[in-house]
Amino acid sequence: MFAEIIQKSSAFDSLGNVITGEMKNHLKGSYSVRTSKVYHFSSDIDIDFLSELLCDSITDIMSVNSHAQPDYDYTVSIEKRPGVMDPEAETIRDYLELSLNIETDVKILSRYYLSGNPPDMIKTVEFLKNRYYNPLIEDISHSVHFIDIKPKTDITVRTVSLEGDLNEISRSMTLSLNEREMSAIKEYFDTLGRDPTDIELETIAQTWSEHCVHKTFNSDMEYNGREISNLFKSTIVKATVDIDHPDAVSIFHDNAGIWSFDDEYDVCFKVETHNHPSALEPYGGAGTGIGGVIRDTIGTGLGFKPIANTDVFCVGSDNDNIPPGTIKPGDVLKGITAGVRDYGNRMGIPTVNGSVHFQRDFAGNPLVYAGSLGIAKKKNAFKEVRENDMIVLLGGKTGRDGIHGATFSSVSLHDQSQDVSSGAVQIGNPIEEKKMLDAIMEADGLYSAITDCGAGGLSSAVGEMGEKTGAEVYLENVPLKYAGLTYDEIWISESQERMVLSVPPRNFPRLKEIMEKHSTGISHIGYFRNGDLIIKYRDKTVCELDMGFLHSGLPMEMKKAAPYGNIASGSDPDINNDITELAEMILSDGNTASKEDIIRQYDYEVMAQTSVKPLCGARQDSVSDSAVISPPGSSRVILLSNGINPHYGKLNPRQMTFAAIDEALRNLLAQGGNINHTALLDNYSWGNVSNTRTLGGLIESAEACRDYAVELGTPFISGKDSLNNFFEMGSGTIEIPPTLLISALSVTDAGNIRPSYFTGEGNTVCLLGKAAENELAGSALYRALGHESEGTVPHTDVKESSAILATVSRLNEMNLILSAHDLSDGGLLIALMEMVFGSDCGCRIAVESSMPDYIYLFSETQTRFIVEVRDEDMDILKAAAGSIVTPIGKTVPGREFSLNYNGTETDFDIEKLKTLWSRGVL
Amino acid sequence: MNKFKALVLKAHGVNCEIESAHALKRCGFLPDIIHIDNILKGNASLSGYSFMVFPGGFSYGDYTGSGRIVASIIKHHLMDDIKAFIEEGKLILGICNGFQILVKSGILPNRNNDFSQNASLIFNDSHHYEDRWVHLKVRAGSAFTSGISTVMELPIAHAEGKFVFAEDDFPDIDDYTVMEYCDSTGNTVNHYPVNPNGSMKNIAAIRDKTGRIMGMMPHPERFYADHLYYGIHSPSLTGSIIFDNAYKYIKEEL
Repeated sequence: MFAEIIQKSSAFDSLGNVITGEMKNHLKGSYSVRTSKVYHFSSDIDIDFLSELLCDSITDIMSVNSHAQPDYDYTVSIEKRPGVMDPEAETIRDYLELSLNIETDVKILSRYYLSGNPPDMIKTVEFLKNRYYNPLIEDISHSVHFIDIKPKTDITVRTVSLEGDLNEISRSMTLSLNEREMSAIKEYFDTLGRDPTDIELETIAQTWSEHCVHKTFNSDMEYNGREISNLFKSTIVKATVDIDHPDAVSIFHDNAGIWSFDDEYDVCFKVETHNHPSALEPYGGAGTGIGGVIRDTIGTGLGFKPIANTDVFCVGSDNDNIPPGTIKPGDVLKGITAGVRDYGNRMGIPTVNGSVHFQRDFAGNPLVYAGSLGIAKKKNAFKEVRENDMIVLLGGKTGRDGIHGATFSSVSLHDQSQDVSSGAVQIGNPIEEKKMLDAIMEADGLYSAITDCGAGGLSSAVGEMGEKTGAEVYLENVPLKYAGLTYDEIWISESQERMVLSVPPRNFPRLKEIMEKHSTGISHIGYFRNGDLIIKYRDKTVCELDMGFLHSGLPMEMKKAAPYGNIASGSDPDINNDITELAEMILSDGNTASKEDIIRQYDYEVMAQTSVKPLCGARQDSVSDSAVISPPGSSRVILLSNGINPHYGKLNPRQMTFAAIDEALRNLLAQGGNINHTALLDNYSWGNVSNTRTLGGLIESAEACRDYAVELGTPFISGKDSLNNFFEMGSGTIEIPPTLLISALSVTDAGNIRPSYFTGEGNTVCLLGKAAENELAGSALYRALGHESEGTVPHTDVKESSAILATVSRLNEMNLILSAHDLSDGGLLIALMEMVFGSDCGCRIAVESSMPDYIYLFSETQTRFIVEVRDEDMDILKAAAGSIVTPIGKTVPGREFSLNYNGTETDFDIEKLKTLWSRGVL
Repeated sequence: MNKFKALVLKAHGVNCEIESAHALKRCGFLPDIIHIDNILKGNASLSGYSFMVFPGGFSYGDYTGSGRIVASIIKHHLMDDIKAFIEEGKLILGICNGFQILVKSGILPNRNNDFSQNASLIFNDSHHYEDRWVHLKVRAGSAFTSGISTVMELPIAHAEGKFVFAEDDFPDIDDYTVMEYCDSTGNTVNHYPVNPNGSMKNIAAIRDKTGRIMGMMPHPERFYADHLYYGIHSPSLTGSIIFDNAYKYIKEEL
């Protein structure tokens, strides 16, 4: 049977009205769109019950087994493809089973009715595609299919012969292993005197994947006439080990880095990429990205409570000229925003910090970074799997979702990716994860270790947890969404919303009780014992692998790298434009413009702890430099910020790295953070690392991370790398620019926090930090004018900049500074404008300089701030900060902003500039 | 029984229960967070409490429409308990998703005294979620809003907050209205973003005839203290006034 729900009038159909408006912008004409939802059930359901559940008596009409049919010319129906997760259908199915005791399959169609002389149907479908449906997971519906419940498959154990072309075997099984790695596997099984089973090969491939072991980053390298032994250990790890920070609790061992908050609590912070899934299915890819990183927090130590999310996106900049087979950058951005929104908001975790960047070369391969901050009692910082503990699987059921996600994430995208990769994309069910989170928080003390099922599914989770103890798994105990999965599919499935626990057997009954209270699935799927990895399926042993080989048998190779080279030309273009015109160009560019239309879609205040919000100021539309989280009952706060600049990355990876670290720290310190209690996260998204110059750029960047971190004394506590982000098409490949996201965390006293906008009239405005230089390559100014590769990239001397940042941190503890904002995109003038945008007052600035005005005003020289200080405190400030302080003006009443540059006066129209800046990026 | 015991009702997907309990505690209440399934199974009951709060969140993911599934559970399994609770003169407050549940289960506004649905909360005109602070013109007439004579600021955060009703069936809606979206000077102009979701008559909160049951889209618990304001100068009136008023009412009347 089916029931269709449609609104009584278009006044109640906001979706129809929104689509009508959007369609008319693209396909002119006079017509209207109405929407409905059609619910199909494989069993008959009581109609009164259905009506109450699905139909709002004030606004909706329900028709059963017939279509609602308002006047229309034609209709388009969209349904999820078979096997694609639909959280709404799942929720309804569970509820019907619970309340009516009826088992039914549920399928939901979205229906669009077009009337009043609409464009032809093909154009409409083309319009809806990638905006309102994604062909990778949804179809134009002609008739509804429920999943066939296949009979139980025969369970013969399948073995794979490794005689023959090893590359071909790797390719045909999507193992993403190279010939050297395949040979090592062959050698291992030759010694055992048998062929591997399919599941053994899959397990090794998952464990050895770039995604799970980061084999490129951990390789030895030959670069510029020297040898580097394990790039990761000799750079990022070395910095952290050398710094040996007293606040560091647990680093590089767990799902997230753990940092001390106060005497009672620790916090953890982790950022992940979800680039390839988001390129193909932006909504599902970004949603499962945030869902996955939240599970990392829950799976850190003995369960951290997630308390904030972050998100950073990089997308293409040209909607009219896109590589074949890709989704328009504008639609990608809408989709990933909606994905983070719908998952993060439903989890009840505030999304508090992020940024968005537009650059041409992200068109085929956008970047989606999702971060999660967690908090836990100090006693929960460490986990240890105990021999003979039960292996317990929590959360959702297992289906065919995301098979081969871990190996897929390590290969390039190409122009048919959207047609052939459907298995690699998952759709999340946030309510399943929310129930599991609530249950796990209540089960404190009942388990000895916990981790999440992410890429590689059970294979990665159980394989990692059992590294020291061994693991014995009974796959038939894993609850399935539908029959017909083979044993290896169960093992490597990436179905979302699952966690694996190590549970002392005496605690299992109590744990089960708690899970059942929260309607969260729980199953006992094996034991941590025996030393080896043994997997059984219906009494047959399908896998028997030595943990030592699995975790240490990966053959590493020496990689060859060459210097990336400096791309910027060194010589500057002639620029004669008027300053106001230049400012207007920069403010209306998406990279600099306000992201208010994205931020407002996130619940950034749930939990009532966000004391500095991403939108603040006199009219709640100003930007803050950091988000500040104030856990109730503590006088301390946590600041979160980020720094990233793909435009510099393309020109000079080493300087880009300094700039990203500098920006993240400037953001923290501007808001009032403390450099002595600050930790960093590195998240690399890099191009094709088999290209020696691209790999060389990675080395230059990793060494820059080490150099700046050591000088600053701020360690890296967590990170991740996503390599091979490039897009292949007939006419060649597009590599993304070298991109490093630095996320930063600082703990300080609540009293040190201050705003990023002017607090009132009559105060002195100062520049604080390095002296401006002519550093405009990659800058907002040169990008706006099409000269981004000309001139000089901002250069950072790590000694000089570290000293400046330490000084600002000291000033923060003296409570001298009323407000502060850092200089980044667009330099001094844009930073001043942003401060005025958020204020009730204005400012009058006067500058004398030997530089041409546009260089001084728009240069992006690093390590600089604008600060607002009371006149009477100026002497103290000068005494404390010395020559890095330059007074440049005063705050004044009203919405005035004037600039006197070497005697030439400019008055800016603040309201006009603000309108340009806040036009929206979606 | 301690008459300041408050019940914060949890259900799958509800996510504002902890800060709601925190805000209640600061105002003198003794809050317990209780899962609705535990009440249905008989492990807990409403009877020991004098104040029931339906907090915000996405109960059952908002699937089939915000609040609908919990409303269905209430209608089939919990309505008698709730009617008894109301008859004893006790207080009920629904915030955001809790407001949606109260309206869709017929508990609020209950104009015809038959617990049938008289109004609804549907998708915002923008058809998407939105977090922003709003100005509210607050009226007396409920146990929660007495003594608020100025325009008040609170955050909203929802996708389905557009308040609608059938005008012919509900000519006296004004008698039930307690909060309206307005500009900073108190004018109830009906345009975005002053009215953030397209609500009819700018309605942000309503009450029942007794004034002891109220539902509101804004989140008072998210502004329980000054440091949670978006700007430098927090208004003196925070969201705590809603819970303070409830406390005062229970102290004096129950």
